[in-house]
Amino acid sequence: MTDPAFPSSADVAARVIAVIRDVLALESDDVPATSRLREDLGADSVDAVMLVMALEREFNGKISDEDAARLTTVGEVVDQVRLRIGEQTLS
Amino acid sequence: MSRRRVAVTGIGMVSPVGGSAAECWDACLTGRAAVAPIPDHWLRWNGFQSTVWAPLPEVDFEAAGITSLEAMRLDRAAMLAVVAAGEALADAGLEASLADAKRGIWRLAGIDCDRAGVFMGTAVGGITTLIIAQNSHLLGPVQPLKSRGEPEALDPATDALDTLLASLPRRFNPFAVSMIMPNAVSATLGIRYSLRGPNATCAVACAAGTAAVGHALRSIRGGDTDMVLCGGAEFVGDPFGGVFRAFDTAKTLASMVDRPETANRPFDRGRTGFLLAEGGAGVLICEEWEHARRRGARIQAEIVGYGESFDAYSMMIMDPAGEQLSRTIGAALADAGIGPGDVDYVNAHGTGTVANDEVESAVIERLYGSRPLVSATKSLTGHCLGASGAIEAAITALSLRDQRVHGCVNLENPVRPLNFARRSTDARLAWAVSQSSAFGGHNAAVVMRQAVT
Repeated sequence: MTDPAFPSSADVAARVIAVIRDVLALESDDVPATSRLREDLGADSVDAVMLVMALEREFNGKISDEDAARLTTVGEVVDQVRLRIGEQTLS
Repeated sequence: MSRRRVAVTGIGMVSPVGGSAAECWDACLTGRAAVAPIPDHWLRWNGFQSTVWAPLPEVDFEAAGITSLEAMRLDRAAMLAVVAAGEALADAGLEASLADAKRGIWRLAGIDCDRAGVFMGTAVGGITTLIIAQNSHLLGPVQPLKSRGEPEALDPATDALDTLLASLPRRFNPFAVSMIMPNAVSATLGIRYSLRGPNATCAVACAAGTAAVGHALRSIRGGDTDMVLCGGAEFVGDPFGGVFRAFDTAKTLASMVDRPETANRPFDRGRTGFLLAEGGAGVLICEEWEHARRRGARIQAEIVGYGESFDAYSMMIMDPAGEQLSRTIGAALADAGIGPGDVDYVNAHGTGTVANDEVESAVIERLYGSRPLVSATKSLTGHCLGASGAIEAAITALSLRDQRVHGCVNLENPVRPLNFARRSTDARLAWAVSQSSAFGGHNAAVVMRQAVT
């Protein structure tokens, strides 16, 4: 059994991608980790704000504005969420 | 050349008495009024003179097509407007198809969006968002505070602070500006349905919904638009009753101590104030007559006249002489090409405040006499502020469509011997007026006619 407070890495990645697809209304379910949010996936500045809010809701945590501003690829978003979830769950 | 005529082809509503136009109309006709005690936890902040309000029913926003992401960037007033607009468009037989999923933009089939407009009223815009954002702002530094002491030994101040801290959202909403601004309601609808004609917000308090309908009439009649989505939306159910307190402190609210459930009694001699509604929205789809006929739409009523004026007297009290309200109605009737004697039904502003009902009933008596049926929708819904005029215009259109008038709840000893409808009644209605007055001194009246080709 998995502890829901400690989601597996693969599970986090899948959930992050689901949120990104939802916020950016992406039809394809093939969203590689190297995809850039703005250039490849068409995110604008409003989408970026929406994405942070949606991730915070999905994972019940907080992503700082400074961290959010540094995120450019899907993989970086996944890593950021893994890092923050780990910290906030342990703290 | 004859004037362009304006048809009402769709109606949508959310109010304390129902989550749809059909539910609201049925509640009005069966006399199911909304009244309930204010939330207990508000009393941690203040003792109120009034202890009742008209809360909204549960609204299923997702079922109404508002995604959970959209809900994060919309004030509740705009969300209520979207619900009512969606219902009104469906009622008008206008099909919407999704054009841009990311932005939540839809297109209406068969509508020239450059010639379609939006006029929406609101009294206080996104005030709930403002209040929540300000709570976040002020309490951010003390958010890490935890409650001290045992629950049974909590002092009221700690208890209040803990409750407030627990209510704070995760972050200060980055969309706050676009949620607070009063034009957010009309802009939300314009974006959502790709309506690119005139888009304006009528911020004339409790006359806002009526003014919005009137300006829709003028826009279509004047040739700027062929179709207008108009009405009003409001939401004042902030978490701790701050807006309620503002009205309560101003001594405007119904405060019957012994029988609070009957406190909402427009035009009764025992009235003490109005029953504040948590919110509401009313939307009417107005179309140029031939535009509506060409696409085979069902025409529910015709909007035929509008008048507006300003008291220039007091921010909080109507001019006791009622001259400007009288002049407003006269102008609306003249615009419709009829006289006061032709009016069969007056949907009155009828708030239940001592001042309004005294002045308005005198104006009605002087102008129309005692022939037309008179009722006050607020006796059922409570006062939905900027949405009230739109809800009442919608009720007036439904009265003309169904040839029925709803009654005035709790009216036992009328302030004047007008032809008040005490309970719902069948009636032959050709012409009807919906009239409103507002804080600030704004007056507005629309005249409607039974749909006849």
